[in-house]
Amino acid sequence: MKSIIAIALFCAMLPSTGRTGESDLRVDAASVLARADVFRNPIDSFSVDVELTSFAPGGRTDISRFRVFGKGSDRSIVEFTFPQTEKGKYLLMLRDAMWIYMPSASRPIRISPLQRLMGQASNGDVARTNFSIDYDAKSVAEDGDAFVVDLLAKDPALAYNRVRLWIDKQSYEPRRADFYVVSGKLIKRATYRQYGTMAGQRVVTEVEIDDLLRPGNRTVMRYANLTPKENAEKMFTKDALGKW
Amino acid sequence: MVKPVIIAMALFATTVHAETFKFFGSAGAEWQLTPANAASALNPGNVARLPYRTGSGDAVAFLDAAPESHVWKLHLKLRGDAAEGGGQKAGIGEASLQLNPRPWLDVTIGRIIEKWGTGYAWNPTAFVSPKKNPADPTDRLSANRGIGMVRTDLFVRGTNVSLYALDHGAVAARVYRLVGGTDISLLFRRDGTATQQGISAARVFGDALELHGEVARRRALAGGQYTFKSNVNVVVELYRGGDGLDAGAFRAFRTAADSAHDEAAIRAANTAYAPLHMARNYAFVRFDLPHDKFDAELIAITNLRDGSLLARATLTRRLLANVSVYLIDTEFAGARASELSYMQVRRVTTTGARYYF
Repeated sequence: MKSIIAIALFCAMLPSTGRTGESDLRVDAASVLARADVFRNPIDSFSVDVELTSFAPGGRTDISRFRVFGKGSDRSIVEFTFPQTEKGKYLLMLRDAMWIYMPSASRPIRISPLQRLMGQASNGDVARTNFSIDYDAKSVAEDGDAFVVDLLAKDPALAYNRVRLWIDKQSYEPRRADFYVVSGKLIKRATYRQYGTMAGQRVVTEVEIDDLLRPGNRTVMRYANLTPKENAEKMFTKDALGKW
Repeated sequence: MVKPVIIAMALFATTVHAETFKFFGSAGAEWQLTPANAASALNPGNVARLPYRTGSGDAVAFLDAAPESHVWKLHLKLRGDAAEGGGQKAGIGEASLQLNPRPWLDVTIGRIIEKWGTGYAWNPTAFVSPKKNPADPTDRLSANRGIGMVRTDLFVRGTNVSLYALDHGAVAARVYRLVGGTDISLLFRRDGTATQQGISAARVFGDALELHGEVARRRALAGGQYTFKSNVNVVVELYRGGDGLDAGAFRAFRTAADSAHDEAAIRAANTAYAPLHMARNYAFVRFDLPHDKFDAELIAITNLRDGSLLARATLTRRLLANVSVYLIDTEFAGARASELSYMQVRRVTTTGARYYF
C-alpha cells in the first residue's frame, strides 16, 4: 500500500528540468519552493509506467509494476499490473482520500493511507510529501550548490511533519528529501538518482527511498513511458473506479 | 434479460475494433476436511452424511475490451467449478456492455455485480448486491454472480448518480458524494413488494483510522479499521439485523431442533438453521498481518446474545509472483444450545493452491 501511495504522488510531481533556473539567493523559501514545484508536474494529464523494487537485508527483493494515470497535481489512479496476484486492482487518490478497487470486491473501498494492500516492504508513506499542496515553505538555506528548503506540514495529521528538500540551484532539480516526524526524528530519505527525457520533458526516472528506521530496507522506483494522455474527469471519481 | 444481452454483446464484439484488452484471473484447487459434529442436534450420528474430505477446483477469468477512446467497454467474468466426484459447472458471472455517450454519462447493460455499502462483513444497504458471507467477506474465490440490469451513471460536479432498472420491474438508485472528506451514499430500491432506503458513510481520520457505517430499515452497522505502524490491520464491526431471530424465535428453533428425532423433523430443523442469521446482534473483528511473502488473517464473529463464536484463521504464502498456497481453519465454539453449537461440522480445514494469470 505504501508503495502505491509513493508511486501515485511521485508521479504527480515528476520533477522536470526543462527550464534552467537561475540561482537567486535573495528569493525567499516560498518562491524557491514555488519555482521547484513548476518542474514537478511536467504534464497535466498523463500515464506512466512504474516499476518498484524493494530491497531488504539479506538480498531479498520484491518487484511490483503499475501504470499510473494522473491529472493535475493531486489526482491519480494506480493500475496494478504485476505481480499477477494483484492484477485488476486500482487505487484512486484524490489528494488525501484513497479508495481501492479489487475485482473480487467489485466496489471501491475507502482506505487509510497506512493500510497495506501488498505484502512487501516499501516506503510509500514518503509519498505524503506532495510538497506544494501539503507543505508550507518556512525557510531556505544553502548547502553547496543546492538550496535547502525547510517545509512544515499544513495538516498536523500528515505522516511527516517536516521535510528538508535539497534543490539544485541551477536546474531546480530535486536532489534529495529528508522526512521527519513530529518528534523531530529523521526517518526517511528520498534520493532522486536519475533523470531522463520522456515525452519531450526532462524528468526523474529513478528515485531511491531509504527507510532510516530499518537500515537495509530501501525501495527503488523507476519510471518509463511517460505519455501525455487526456484522462477524462470522471476517471477520477470513486464510482468510476474499475469501470473505465 | 441477460441472455439476449450476452448475445447482443457477442455480435457487438465481432463488429467493433477494440484496442485495449485486459485478461486476467486465477485457477485453483483446494481440499477440505469437514469432520461431522455428532453433538449437534442437526446432525446426530452424521445423518446428513457429510463427507469427511472433499476436493474441488475452480477457475475465474476477467476480460475487458475497449477502444482507446473508451467510448464503449465490454466486460466478462467467467467462472468454472469442478468438485471431486464429478460435479462440474461453468457460467457467466458478469457480462456487460458499457457505453459512454457523454463525458458525464455511462450506460451499462447486462449481468453486473453491483456492491453497495461501506461495511466489511455486512452491508445493510446492499439492496442490489450478491448475498455476503461475513465469514468470507472478500469472496475469496470470486464466486459472486451478477444480476441483470441497465445502469445509468451520471457524473455531475462531484456527485455521482446511478439509476438502475433491474429484472422483474425493480428499480434502484444511488447518489454518492464526497462531503468534507466523508463518503456519503444515499440508496434506494423498489420492487413489487417493498421499498428500501438507506444511507452509508465512511471517513478516514489521519493516516491510520477509518470509520464507517450503514443504516437501512431494521438493519444497521457501525465499524472501523485501524492500521498499526507494524502493518497489522484491525477491522471491528457491530451489526444489528432486524431480520434475524429474536430470543423467542431462537428458543422455538432450539426446542424444535433438540426434540427432532425423525428424519423429517431433523431436515426441517436444518432448513430453519441459518448460521449468523439466528440472532439480531453480532460483532466482527479481523486482524491481518502481512509479512514478507506471508499473510496471516484471523476473523472472529460472535453472536452477542449467546456468545457463540466463529473463528477463521488463514495463512497465505506467495510462492511465486503468480502462485500462492493457503491454509484456512474455521472453528466453531459456544455453549450447548447456542447458535454455533448447532453447526453440523466441528470445523472446516481448507488447504489449497492458486495460480494467477
